[in-house]
Amino acid sequence: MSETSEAVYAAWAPATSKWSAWAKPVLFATLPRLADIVRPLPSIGVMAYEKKNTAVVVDLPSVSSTLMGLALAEAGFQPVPLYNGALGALGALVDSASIAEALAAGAAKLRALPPRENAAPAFLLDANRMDNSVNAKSPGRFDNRWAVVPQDMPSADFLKDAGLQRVVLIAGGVRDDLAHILHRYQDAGLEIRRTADPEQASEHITVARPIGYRSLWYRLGVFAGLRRNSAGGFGATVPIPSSSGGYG
Amino acid sequence: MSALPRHSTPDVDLRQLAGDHAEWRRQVIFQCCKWDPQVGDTDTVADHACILSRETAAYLSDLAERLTAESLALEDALERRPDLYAGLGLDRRLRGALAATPPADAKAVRVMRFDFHPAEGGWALSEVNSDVPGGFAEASMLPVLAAQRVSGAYPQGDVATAFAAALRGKLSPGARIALVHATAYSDDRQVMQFLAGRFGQAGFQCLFLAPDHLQWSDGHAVSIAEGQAGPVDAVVRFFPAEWLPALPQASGWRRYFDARVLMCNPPRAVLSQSKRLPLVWSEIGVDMPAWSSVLPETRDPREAPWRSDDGWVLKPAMGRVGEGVAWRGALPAREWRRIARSATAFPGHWTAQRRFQSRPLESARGPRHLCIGVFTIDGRASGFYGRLSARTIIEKHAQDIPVLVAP
Repeated sequence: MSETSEAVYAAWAPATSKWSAWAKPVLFATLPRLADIVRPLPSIGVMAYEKKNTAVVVDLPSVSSTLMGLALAEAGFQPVPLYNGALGALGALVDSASIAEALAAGAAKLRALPPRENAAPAFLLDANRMDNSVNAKSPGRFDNRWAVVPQDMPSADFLKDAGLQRVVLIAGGVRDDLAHILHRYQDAGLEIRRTADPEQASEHITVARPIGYRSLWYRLGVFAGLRRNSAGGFGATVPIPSSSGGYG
Repeated sequence: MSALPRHSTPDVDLRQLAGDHAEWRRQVIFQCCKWDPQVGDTDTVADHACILSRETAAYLSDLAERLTAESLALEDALERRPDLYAGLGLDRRLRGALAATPPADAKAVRVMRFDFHPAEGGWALSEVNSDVPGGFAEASMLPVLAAQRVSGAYPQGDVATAFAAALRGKLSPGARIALVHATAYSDDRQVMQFLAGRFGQAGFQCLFLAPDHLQWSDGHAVSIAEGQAGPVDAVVRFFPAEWLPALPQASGWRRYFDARVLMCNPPRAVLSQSKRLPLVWSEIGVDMPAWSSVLPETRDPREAPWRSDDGWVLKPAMGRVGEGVAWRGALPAREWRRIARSATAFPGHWTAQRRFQSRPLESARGPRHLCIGVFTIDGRASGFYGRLSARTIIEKHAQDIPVLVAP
């Protein structure tokens, strides 16, 4: 990698943007030595015209989320990386390394863009963060799955004070953890819209009230569950090899 | 140990850090592994430093060492009284595991953090984190960085250096240390990442492991984690002991309790971690003068008027960092009812404690409440961890503040 972790972080979380406070440092702080890889950015279609009074939440798998963030930055949004899983060692369940690589490669592009002090935020999430695939079921794997919780994002009041009136979700669906946040926004009067394909216009959605909504115990529950279920990760229990050498 | 000193009057003030806050925040993120610098709309990196007078620093250090000695004596006594474990609010499986006796030659490093608050009448103790205390970077690197932004005050102690030195005294050079934590939780990983850096400088090899990455044989542990496989010489655990029983039986979690490898902390630390500890003192016959001098009166919830009197605080027996702490009027009615219901239905998992009057300090941003965590490593005071809050409860929204000492 040709630049320091701090320089990459500063590009994605410039001191001039009010949204930078929410950028999650974990991937930046542990950036490995990476080659700069230039990838083509996706088209953001009509999103380019939706930036007025609109915050965006990108919940797409892996690098496609980061690249969407860069494309939105070109259109005048401030991308805010919320990736909160560690890189891990070999055998990591979530491919955070590819995201770290895309963040590092995207830093130069962000610095080349005009200043975006008053830009609306585009929060970036990895839709693979709670992967419960067969990969999760092998002992010895490094469980770096993660969830987003309300305290990871600005409050509805903060968004409204910044003049934002709606939130557009770019995702195939509303994941359970994100529903807790979007429902809060909806309760506070922000309109929630969604599109799976930013080439298509977003549509108004109603986010159903999730179980445990607004509970003091919700966050504790998420992380207690995380620890209980797999000794360091979400979801399924990691089984131990049986005496026959298989997996029980 | 000499006679207990009289209650010291908190001699502490807050001073704004010089320089640009955004730059300070970035320094803290990258040099102190502070990966949770924002909680909701709250910046958790303070723009002030806390300055203790030399006398206050000495008083708190001395007190923490006395509290450590008493806690260890209490643990020793409790190990001979497993009939009292249920009264501490410990889970049945945990009680069973604690009955296992580690081998006589088992090695340990003991790390504790005692949380003190400036209060009306002197310093008050809210809790000890004797099982898995956090805040190592904040009590090591943060004061060093802050000293460059405040004149006339200096860091005192460096808990990470003291920790590494304690390990060096008990392990061979190049030993492999398992840093056991909830790997999916970046707030925990940041603690491990900082320690790995310091332990690496001390010549150790660190492994980032989940609790079930260890397989046990005759008290010895082997890592099965991909890319980090092989024997380990020590386990530094950042996974609370009371959560171990929630692992599958086949994970071998019980082996943490009779391990031969060096443990930090050994699981028996959970005995002094319980907030119900004061409820069993009288049954053990161990003198606790230091604890008694700074811990507010503590009762079983069935024996305190917490429902009608906001002078009583409810605390979960195994709570940490202010989680679940509440008193009448402190929370929205619905959340208070939920906690009150739990304390009524499961009183053995809660304590009621007299609420001390936290004495706010003046800052450039208005009055702030302070908590000073004093670390001890193997019984010696070794660093200060400061947290600052606009509210009287110091919890997840509290800011990390560097603690310096006046000359």
